[in-house]
Amino acid sequence: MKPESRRALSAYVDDELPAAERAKVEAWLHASAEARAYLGQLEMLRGHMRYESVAAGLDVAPAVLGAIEPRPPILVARLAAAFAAGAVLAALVVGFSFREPSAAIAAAIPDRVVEAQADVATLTARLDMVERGFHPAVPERTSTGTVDYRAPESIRIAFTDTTVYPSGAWVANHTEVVVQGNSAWRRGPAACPTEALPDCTPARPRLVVLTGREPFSQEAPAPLDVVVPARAFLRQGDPEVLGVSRLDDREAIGVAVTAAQVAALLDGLTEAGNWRDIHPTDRVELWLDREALTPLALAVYPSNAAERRLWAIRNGYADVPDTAILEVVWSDVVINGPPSPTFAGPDDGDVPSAGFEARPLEQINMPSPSDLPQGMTLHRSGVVVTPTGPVVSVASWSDGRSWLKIRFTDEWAGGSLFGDLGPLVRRVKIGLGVGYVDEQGERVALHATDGDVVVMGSVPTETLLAVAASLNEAGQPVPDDWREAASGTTADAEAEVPGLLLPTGLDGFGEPTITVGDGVATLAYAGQGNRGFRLSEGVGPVLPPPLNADLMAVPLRETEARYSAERGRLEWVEGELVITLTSDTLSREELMAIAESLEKS
Amino acid sequence: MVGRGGRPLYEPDPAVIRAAAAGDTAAFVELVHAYQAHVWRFLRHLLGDADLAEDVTQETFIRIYRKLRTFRFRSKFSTWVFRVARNAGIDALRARRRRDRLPDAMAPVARARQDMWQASGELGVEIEAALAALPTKLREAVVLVEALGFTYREAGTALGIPAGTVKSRVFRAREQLVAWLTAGEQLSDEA
Repeated sequence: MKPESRRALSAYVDDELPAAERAKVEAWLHASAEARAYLGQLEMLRGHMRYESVAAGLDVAPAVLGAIEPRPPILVARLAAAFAAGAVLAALVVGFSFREPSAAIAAAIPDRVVEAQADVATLTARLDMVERGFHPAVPERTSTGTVDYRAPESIRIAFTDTTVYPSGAWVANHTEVVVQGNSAWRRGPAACPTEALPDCTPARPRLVVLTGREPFSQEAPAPLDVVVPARAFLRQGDPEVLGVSRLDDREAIGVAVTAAQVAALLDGLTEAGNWRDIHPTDRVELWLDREALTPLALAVYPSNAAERRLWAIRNGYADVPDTAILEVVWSDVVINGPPSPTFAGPDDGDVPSAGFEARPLEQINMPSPSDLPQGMTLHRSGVVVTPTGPVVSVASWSDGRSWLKIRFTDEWAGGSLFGDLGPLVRRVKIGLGVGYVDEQGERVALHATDGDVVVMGSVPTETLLAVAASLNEAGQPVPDDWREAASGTTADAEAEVPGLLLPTGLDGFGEPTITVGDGVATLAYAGQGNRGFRLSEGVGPVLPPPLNADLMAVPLRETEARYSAERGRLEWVEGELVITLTSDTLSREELMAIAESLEKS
Repeated sequence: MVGRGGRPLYEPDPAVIRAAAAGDTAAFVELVHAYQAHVWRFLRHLLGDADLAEDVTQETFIRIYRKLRTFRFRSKFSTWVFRVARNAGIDALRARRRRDRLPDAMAPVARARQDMWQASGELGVEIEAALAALPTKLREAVVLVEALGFTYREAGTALGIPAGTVKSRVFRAREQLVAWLTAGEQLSDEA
């Protein structure tokens, strides 16, 4: 009997055949004694496996219940202790409590955070921060500040350093970050390596001013995740939910994430000034307003990852497990109150412009989208004219804190896609043509006959693709000599590398961007926030010579792999393949779990 | 006519799941009682060890309790339960593999055959030995489909793989099981 005949019988036993095939198999069974014998063996197997007795008296419930006594998450417990001690943070937290959240609330968090962007027109709050481990001589620093936001992209975040330093040699870390219309500025002490403190810090704060700022500029981005951390949740993925509590007299829901996932929020708080570094694998307990999904508190704890300990030693940090290295509390939060007056800025008379000139949408050269997300209205439009670059038309739309932007030029010199998508892109069908999505899924580019366009925003990739499709531009494949020409599909990767292994069961990561060539396939998987990893596979009998000295051997997939904490690289040989997993944002344990999940597609 | 047969797995009322996620102990115990026997059977086949299966069943429900609030009602609760059980089982297998690495890959097969012949020779024992000799990926797929009556799609959801892959793995598992049992019969005849 042929294998495909036995395969059909196997599916037949499982009642998984379409009616037509099922009828064929039944006719065949009628005619073939060999088929009936094979079917009899399958039924015999089933009979023994399906109908068997279960261990008498099996009841794991008492043991399970004994092991799951609910305990408050670390931040809440810590705030409780601080409250009892009259500490700074706890004084801001009134009547907190801990109780388990409902599954329905937890399940919806990523979608709701992204949706909640549209509902915030203004936000003001007081900020209180405790930073630990900045320097051995200054183990703890405290700051108090404010965040003041007007939709869609005007924001001011300022901190006053309230630390008592050991001597006058230390410069207080007073900071200010402002984005307002076509201007932006940030002010604060210059950053210094730990070992060079305090002498390396100039006494005068550093002031950086930008004018001619285009809407939602990447050059001077508005730290909007401090208002609603949408970037951390643009990709689906089950968050670890800590519980429901009460902070600042608001219902709060807590999630545990990594620092890489909420990098935009952490960077937004510390964009100006001199702060300690946070490792991407550090654990962040983030508490969000249950309704508005705005942040109410966060605490960052050092992770236990081996590469993190190495990183701490190299950076001069003596972090203590289970002791938060950063705690921030938002209090006196007012959402959608009266907008604040214009922020007073520095004299920017002599500051060179980034080149944006406001113009009405109908006066700029740009394809017009016919499909915008509901509720989005035109924000700012104009052109960017710089001495060296092409003239670029820009239009932006917004709804609360959510935004969308289209940039277009018919002067693109080529070599790579317009729109700074990065080297790894994913080719997708868009309308009648093709488009390219960047590794993070946050930009969609089209290379069309009449120009080059990129669509970006704080919305999911699917929304960006829908807007790109509505431009009615037939995107062309990039020319062979452009950087992105090597981008391919999973099928291309399998053709280039026979026996290619792919991850299974990934949670919180999008479709990979893929490049193929020279017998190697590289797949880049972007996750939530800044999380991501790259998987490279190529045919070869041995690993390349090691490039660094910190290699350690780890058991993996019935073989031995080598891991470099410094490079975040796990590599091994399996059959005919040399396989490498690299990441700046995932721990060794996470990389090993991904490695163990690899399977032939 | 051959059908899937068996009794479909219990699907709890969403209100029970929500209550358990919110800390209602009685609701959680209801879920434990509904699934513990099935989870234990799955793990016993997967791990080939009844005592270890009981320990990992406990671990499974501890994980379920901690993850309940992340259940999104986008799949059947039963397939989600078995996804958690499968991950707990795989972790246990890895831990055991690390603990007692064997000198050669065929050792478990040889030992299983030996155990089989030392045992009563009943068909159930033979099947257990044959299952123990399967690669884990084939074993978990065939146990979900054969022992628990999952559809390919449900098993795929539980294992985090496409339904087509389940179909292929179940077939490959059956091929090996049938080959094993046929070889056993031949050995028995020769004896």
